[in-house]
Amino acid sequence: MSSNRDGKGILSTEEQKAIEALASAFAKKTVQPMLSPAAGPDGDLSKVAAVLAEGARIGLLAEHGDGRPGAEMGIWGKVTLSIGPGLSVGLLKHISEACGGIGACFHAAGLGSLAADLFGLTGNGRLACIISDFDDFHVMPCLSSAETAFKRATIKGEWKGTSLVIEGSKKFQLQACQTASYVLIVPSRSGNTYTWVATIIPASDDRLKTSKVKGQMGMRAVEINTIEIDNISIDKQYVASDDNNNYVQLMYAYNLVGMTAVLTGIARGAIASAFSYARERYQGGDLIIRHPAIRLLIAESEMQVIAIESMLDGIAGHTPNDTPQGLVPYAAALKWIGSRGCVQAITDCLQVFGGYGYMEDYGMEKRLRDGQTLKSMAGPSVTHQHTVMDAREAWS
Amino acid sequence: MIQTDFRHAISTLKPLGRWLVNAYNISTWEHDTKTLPASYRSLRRKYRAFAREHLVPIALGVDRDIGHFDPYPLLKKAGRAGLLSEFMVKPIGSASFYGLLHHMTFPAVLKAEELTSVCGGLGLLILDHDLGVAPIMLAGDLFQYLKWMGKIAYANRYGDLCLAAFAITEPSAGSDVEDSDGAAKARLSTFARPVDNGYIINGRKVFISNGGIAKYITLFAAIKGEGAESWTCFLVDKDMKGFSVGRHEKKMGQRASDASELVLEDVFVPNSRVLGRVRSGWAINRNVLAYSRVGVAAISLGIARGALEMAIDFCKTHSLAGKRLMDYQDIQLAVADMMIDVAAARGITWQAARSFIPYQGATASAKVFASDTAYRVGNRAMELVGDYGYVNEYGIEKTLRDARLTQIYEGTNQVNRLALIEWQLDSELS
Repeated sequence: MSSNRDGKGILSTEEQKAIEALASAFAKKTVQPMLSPAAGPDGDLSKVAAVLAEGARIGLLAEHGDGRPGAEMGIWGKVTLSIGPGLSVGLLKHISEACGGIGACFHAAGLGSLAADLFGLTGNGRLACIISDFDDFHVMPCLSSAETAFKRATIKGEWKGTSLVIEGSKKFQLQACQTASYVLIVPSRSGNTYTWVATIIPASDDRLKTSKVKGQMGMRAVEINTIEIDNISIDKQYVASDDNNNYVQLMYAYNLVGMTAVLTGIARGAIASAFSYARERYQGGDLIIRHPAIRLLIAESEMQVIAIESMLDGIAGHTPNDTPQGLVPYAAALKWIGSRGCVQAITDCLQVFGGYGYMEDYGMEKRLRDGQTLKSMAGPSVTHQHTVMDAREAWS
Repeated sequence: MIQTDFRHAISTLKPLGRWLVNAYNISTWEHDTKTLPASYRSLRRKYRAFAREHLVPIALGVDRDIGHFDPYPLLKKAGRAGLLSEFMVKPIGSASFYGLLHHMTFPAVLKAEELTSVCGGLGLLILDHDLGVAPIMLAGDLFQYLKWMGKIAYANRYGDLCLAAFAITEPSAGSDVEDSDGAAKARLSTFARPVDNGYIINGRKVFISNGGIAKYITLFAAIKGEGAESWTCFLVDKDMKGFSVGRHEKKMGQRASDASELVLEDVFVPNSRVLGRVRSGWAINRNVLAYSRVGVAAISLGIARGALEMAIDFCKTHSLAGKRLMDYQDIQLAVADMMIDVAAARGITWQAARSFIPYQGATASAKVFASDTAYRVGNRAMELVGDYGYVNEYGIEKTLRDARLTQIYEGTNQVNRLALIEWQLDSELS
């Protein structure tokens, strides 16, 4: 695998730093004000649309179509195809330090845009990427042959003449508000031939129904929907094939990488808050940052996140030209270990606040709810374990 | 299948052999209940029945819409059922004779597990009253015990509700008031100034469970000009002039239980309402914590069991690829780990409560272990069900939110670890 962490020749270190500074400033000036405790435990969610619009305007949120500022260099913008996910991972972390839900919106929209670029599809506006699930623990259909995937997928396509007819449903689909279209990646069948294919369906299509999952624990700034598709017919000129499963595997891996980047950002935000609080709060006549119990909590959080960031850096250095089959188990391992480590770091940082951490005022409980929610996304933990085991068997 | 084979194997044994094998096909709960004395067995069944009848129907709804929750009807039912008068024996109270004679906290531990296995918040709402009245009992004044405890117990069983709350935490003094070293240097903000026939109290208390709904508050204040060594415990009435309830905290979990700020502005408390002696507050506080920490261990145990039961229920009623989740070995392994965790938490909690008088080292250990277990089991339950875990419809995410508080209150788990060391320092660590 070739490493292109700095994107040399495509993106200079200075350019990358400038974009990261932009994301950091955006998090402080645009996202943070939305999170006033007076507006509720998750901030003023009515402002999410405006925050995302500003993100798109300054080129951080990738939307598809000519002239869109973020299409190239935004989170999961087209440049990812050349330099790998490093830039997007860094930007996601900056934004998620302020709010994991907003970070997840950027991730979901960017992934949709990247999927369209990868498959050479033309979209317009904000996209979301739907990859069909399996109906059992092995919800990593991308590792299976298209035939196996077709038999067990929850959304699939059937070729009828020159049209692909798609039907099925997907639960717990992550997407930003005001999603204009969906990039659908599904296994398809034509006679005895099975292939992974991708196409774009407008959200306004009346045979595509979305219903919001209600009562989510955290990540309330991002939409989590159930998508139902009722026999939508697409002409073959709008369908792209993925004969070797490479693209679907890449999208699957990047989804897990992005989620972990968001989690890492949330944990980084938690550590910063705990550190700051520990330097202001007195207990037993001394600042609590001088108490060994508090120092150990913050140190362990820092160590967890440093380890996860190392894993993220390792994956972020690989470009899409590298072997996607090798990337999926690494991404699964990253999500499994990264989720646990980040949530542990967040809960340790909450502990630094004592009773105040459990109340809504300091934003720590929100971070824990967000972290726990994201940790549960993309399937039960056993799914990721099976993915790694499947890959291990394939390697042998 | 294994169970069936095992039973068949047992049936081939001779009578003595069969008698020596425990082959009861009953739940873990029933197995554990069978180990208890008869008096506790009936208490455990009574608490479970109350929780199922009165808490199950409202638990999720209250958590979702705490703004519209009226706690009084539930508390009244709890009072009538004898759940708010268990520090005094019949006919006025409802305490177990056996319990009072053998283990002061065991009945409370049974009650806490059953109530919080359904809902941490509703359970705490009912249980906090015991914490509020504990200083009356532990202050060691028989006259005060009979007068105040009798009045409160009678009102809860037969009259209007009369709840108590325990007020110790202050805005700048949380963990330090639960730790000897910290208390000596704590920045206290609630003081009592001696005047004729009593004291004038000024200050604030925060995070007081049931502070907004209690009639009586057992409140600790330092004597003006002195430190925590002068702490004195006062029985404050919410109707006293100068007493008011400040902000109601918005919590991540255990939301059904009120946590309020109490504001005291020149509140006059007569000498007759000093519990125990002046300047004995620190001792009363430590004693209460030794009792209440095993209660928090039991609350944690209940929440962990609730998470386990919800996860099992989910896995029994949901299928993947045409097969019940519970029939997958992957799931069985995870469920087994959770069951083992809960059993271990029950073991340490019951062990700490089996002393007639609980001691700090045992209750602090139980509190830390059980609360960490509750959080771990809640995590495992969420991991088990994937995306369904964060949707409040299934209740699993609520158990995790509820569990998280048990690692904080009654002293953070860091403070409790130090409490264990402090307790054992002279006997085995020096």
